[in-house]
Amino acid sequence: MGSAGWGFGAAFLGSAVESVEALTIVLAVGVTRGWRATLQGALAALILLAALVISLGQVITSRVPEPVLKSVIGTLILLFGLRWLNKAILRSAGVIPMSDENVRFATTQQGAGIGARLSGVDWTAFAIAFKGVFLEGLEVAFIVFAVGATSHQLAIATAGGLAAIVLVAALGVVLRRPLSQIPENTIKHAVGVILASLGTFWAGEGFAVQWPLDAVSVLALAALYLGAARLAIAVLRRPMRARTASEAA
Amino acid sequence: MPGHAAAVLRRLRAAVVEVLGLFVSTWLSALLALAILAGGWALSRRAPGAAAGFAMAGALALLVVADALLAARRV
Repeated sequence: MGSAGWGFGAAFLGSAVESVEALTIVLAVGVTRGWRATLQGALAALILLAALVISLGQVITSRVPEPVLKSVIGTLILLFGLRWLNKAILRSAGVIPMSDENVRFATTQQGAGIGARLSGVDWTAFAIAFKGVFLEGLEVAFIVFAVGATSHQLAIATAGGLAAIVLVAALGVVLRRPLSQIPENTIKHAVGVILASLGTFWAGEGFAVQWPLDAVSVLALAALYLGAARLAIAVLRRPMRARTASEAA
Repeated sequence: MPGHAAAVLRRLRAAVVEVLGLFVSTWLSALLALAILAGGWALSRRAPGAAAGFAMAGALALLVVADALLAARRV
């Protein structure tokens, strides 16, 4: 699999996680305040995100020299991946609670209940849906832009991101409830590993590192980060198990 | 008007912090990751090939473990 394939995978999985979170917000606002303004807000956010990815992608890939682009984007995407991986490790080890879409749904619904309609347009619904989709989508936009621009496959990365949005939206329309069964943390874990591996690979290429077998090295890097994450989870779980056992005794 | 400008600045600062927060779990781990990358870059100047890349990746993998253990102690 070339780096374009990794890019599609990272964009698809990253977009899937964030789309689940955005869908929960849109569903909660839509059910509480009506669908028209909610969907308008969500659509406006998606259009703004698409414009950001396309304009930034075109300007940066045509003007920035490739080694600089790979070093800078590689570094940023590595930091991004390490952050996702850190959160996924802490959740898997039980240090922080798992993301719960039902709780998010209830909280958003509670917040959306406040606020009046002004001049016929429900600006509260529009604003909450816009903000929710824009903020959740900003991370996806960055992943799509970064993997697309660096591997010169912006269309493939965009297709990966869009495919996940369409899939999650279709599931939302069919089920009409938050997608709480999707293993968000497992996907976040996988995306963290992929982004950290791609970031290291691209930053290395930017520094003139000659990776053996080119993009196949990403597999070795992914195995390394996965191993580190499993080790961290195992070490963090051990004192917790000991504490549970001593409490039970 | 100065109060309005201060409020705008506060919002702007909050927005910048929120965007930067997308990239870092803690400032310390981000700085260490950048230091490791700088070390990888310096090593790649002296030793061409893949050694610098894998040394950099090994150090970053150790950082993943250390960062998680430190974060767990803070929680």
